[in-house]
Amino acid sequence: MGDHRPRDQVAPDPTPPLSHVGTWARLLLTVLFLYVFLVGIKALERGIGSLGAGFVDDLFATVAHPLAALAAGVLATVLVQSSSVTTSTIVGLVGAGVLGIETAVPMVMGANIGTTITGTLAALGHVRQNAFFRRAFAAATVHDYFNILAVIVLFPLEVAFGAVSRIAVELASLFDGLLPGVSDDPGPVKRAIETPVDAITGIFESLGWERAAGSILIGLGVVLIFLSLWQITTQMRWVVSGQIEAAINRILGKGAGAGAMLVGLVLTVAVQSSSITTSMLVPLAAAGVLTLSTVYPVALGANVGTTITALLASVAADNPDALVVAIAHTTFNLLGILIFYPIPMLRRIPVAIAEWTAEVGARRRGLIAVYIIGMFFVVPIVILFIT
Amino acid sequence: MFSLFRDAQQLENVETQLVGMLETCSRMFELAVGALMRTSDPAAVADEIFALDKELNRTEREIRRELLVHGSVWGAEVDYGLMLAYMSVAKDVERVGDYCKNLWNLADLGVDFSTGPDQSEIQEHFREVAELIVVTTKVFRDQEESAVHELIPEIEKDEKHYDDHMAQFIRSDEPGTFAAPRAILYRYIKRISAHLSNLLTSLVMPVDRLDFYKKSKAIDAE
Repeated sequence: MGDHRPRDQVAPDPTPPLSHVGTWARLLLTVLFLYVFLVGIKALERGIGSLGAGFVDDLFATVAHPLAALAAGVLATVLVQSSSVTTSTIVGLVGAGVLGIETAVPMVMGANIGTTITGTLAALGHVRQNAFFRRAFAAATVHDYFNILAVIVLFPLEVAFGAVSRIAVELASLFDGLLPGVSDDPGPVKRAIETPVDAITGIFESLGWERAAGSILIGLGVVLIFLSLWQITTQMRWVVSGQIEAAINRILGKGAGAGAMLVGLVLTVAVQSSSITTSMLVPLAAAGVLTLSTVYPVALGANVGTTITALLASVAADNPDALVVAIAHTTFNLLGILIFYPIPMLRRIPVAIAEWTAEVGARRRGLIAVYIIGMFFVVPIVILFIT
Repeated sequence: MFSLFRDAQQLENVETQLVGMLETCSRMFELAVGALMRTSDPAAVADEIFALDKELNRTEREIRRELLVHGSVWGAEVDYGLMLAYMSVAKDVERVGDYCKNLWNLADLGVDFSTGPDQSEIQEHFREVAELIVVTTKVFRDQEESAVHELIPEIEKDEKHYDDHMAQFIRSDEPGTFAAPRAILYRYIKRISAHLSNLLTSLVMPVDRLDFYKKSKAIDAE
């Protein structure tokens, strides 16, 4: 064997010097888009408020029935592929006083079901290989079934007794005088949110376009909500990807349980999207490195984490009910966990149904389309029609 | 604070684990050689060699999981070429560990190279391979691409030499107890060299040519 000594050493490639600057710039962008998001909520609220009570009553008459509100929540979220957009819009509508708590809470429950379609669609990417697909589809649908079961239990209780909203009202009362939405003094944050909306309204008024102003503000509000949430998610995903990677590696070592739930919660709060969190889990489940019993609590944590968006949106709202609805979203998800997760027999139900669905879906691919179209489109549309 | 937001794009942890695996191989080879040259009792090092082999296997599985997580988290931003290269490298290092364990197995079966007419030659080959593992570790850790182009041709020469020895012992009229262990020995050290060479290709060759070194096809070829 000859001399293996290498020629001149090459120094290891250092971390690119500007990578941290990128991180800080993205964090600043996130803060900026958070502000844009709140301005969007305010514009939506102001725009709807300016349309007049008659128009608004007509618009929301179709979802006056709680079941219709639930179905509308599912459909809206499926169409925009983001429960954050739906729930923050709902909060904006409640803030404008055009949507009551009794309608908004079922809508938020529907949004919880609708958001799971993203993970389910992500599982379809593994359809080529049976074993991979079975694991991926089970991982995706366990989230679907948990949210559906939570609605099956809590929706009737909410309609009959206001089970979720009463708790939310009590919790919201703890913030009396502390948050802009529930305080007489708007405070600097709220003033900063209102200023651009006031300016836009002022421009329309000076042009004599008062009637068009409402519709334009609604459109602007929706665009700003979409744009800002998309950007917040994009920027934060870039910033925290390293941490996400480390956290998933940790739960791979430690397995299921409260730790995994906490990881799901923290990751989703960071990226403001439960769909991102759960979609990241699907390929890992498909490859078999994440078991269904680990994916399940992460998805539940993501359910709770995603409620941060509605809570943030409530900061921009004038009506204290907006905060109640945002808290109801969190309460609903926490109650779902408390009902189904601690008792092993109940905890197993969504897992067993998901495994069965995946097994059937792997054998008969056509049924997958039936499941997705039926669950996320046909059932909500039928409910909307009959109610 | 900066470290809080450190991006993990560079797969630093996987690189560290691969270097750690190579260091483990170095120790396993040392134990195997000690057993074959009877500077240590094969039975006395059995526990350590099996523990190190398990550690290598566990690390290989960890690396695979980490690469998969990396791909899932970073999505389209992932350097898939690097990920595939690391999968390949982890397998090569794990195989080096396996051959080190197999060498120890020879000693455990009673093979003793501390006596015999070729004792010093075998000792010299052991020294070469031990040195190759150390140098490969350093070149890989420091990403010394230019060194790879010097090392691989030398390794190929050595592989040819080991192959010739193996063929010679297979065809030999010597008793089986003499020729067979030597044929196996040369096969094993040839495979160790080949896997280290494959590993080195990850520094200079395109992903589709991993394990197939050709200087003119290297990424840094002019």
